[in-house]
Amino acid sequence: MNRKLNTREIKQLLDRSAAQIDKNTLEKLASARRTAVQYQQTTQQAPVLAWLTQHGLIHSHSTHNRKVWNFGIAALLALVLLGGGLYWQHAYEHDHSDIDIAILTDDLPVDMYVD
Amino acid sequence: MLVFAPFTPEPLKLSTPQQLSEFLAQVERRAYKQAQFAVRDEHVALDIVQDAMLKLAERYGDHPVEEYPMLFQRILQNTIRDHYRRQKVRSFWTTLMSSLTPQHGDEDFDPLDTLQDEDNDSQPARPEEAMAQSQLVAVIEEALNTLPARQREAFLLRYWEELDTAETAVAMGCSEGSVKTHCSRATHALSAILREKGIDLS
Repeated sequence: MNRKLNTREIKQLLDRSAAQIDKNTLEKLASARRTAVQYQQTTQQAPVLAWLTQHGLIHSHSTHNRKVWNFGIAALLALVLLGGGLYWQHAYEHDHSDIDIAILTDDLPVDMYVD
Repeated sequence: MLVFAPFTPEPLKLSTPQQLSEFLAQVERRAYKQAQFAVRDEHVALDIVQDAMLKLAERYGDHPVEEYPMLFQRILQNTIRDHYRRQKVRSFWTTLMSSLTPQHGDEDFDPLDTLQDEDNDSQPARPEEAMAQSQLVAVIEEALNTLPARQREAFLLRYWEELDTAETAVAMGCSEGSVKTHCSRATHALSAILREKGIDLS
């Protein structure tokens, strides 16, 4: 076999080889492709987010905006926890002050002496 | 007076399932061949391509379609490398276990496991020229199989996928210098192998 080849011809030969893949393998590749596409469809964003994205209100595909969203959600969660903690602490202090006033005014209910 | 206009980034076009499907249909054959060159097993090659397709759809399915070629190549090469790593670990344990268990000769060997189907019935009969080309393809594929994995990877990405040096470096996860070295060595090795078969690589 006496021949001269360059990289372009090698590419063409490899393309030819890829074009000769048997039917069975091609069917399996097509099936894999369909599965992948289905997976993309199921993992696409929720309708509300899609609507917001379409109308330019958010750009959910942008990495930067995703980070901002994640940060926003984390900040909101922290705020809710902080608010809850403060409210609980305030309610607890309120309870204490009621008891203090009751002791001072001698209006402490009898059941407070039970323990 | 300088007036700064508010920066409004141009929204990127999200890819549709139709675009993803078209892209995958376009690259699946070459991806399969690349995986086959790398692992030399049809079933494993199919698994690798399927895995790469799923990863692309799952993780980057909402990216613009223009980003797909590079992303897919990167994912494919990483999936092949993951396979190598798993194989290495598996072969370590297999060797360890086989050294501990008694040998039973060749009774587990089934030639059907390794028999290659060289005849492709799906193709119509071709003239002599096509036959010569098929032989040439076989010679090239055999030569590619003998290359070290990284050299073959670089050669295929550069000359088959037609990525430039920078893109190949990204896909391979190495520097541009390494890509050039791998490509140069691959070309020299291929040239030497093909010369033995009477083919000059120019």
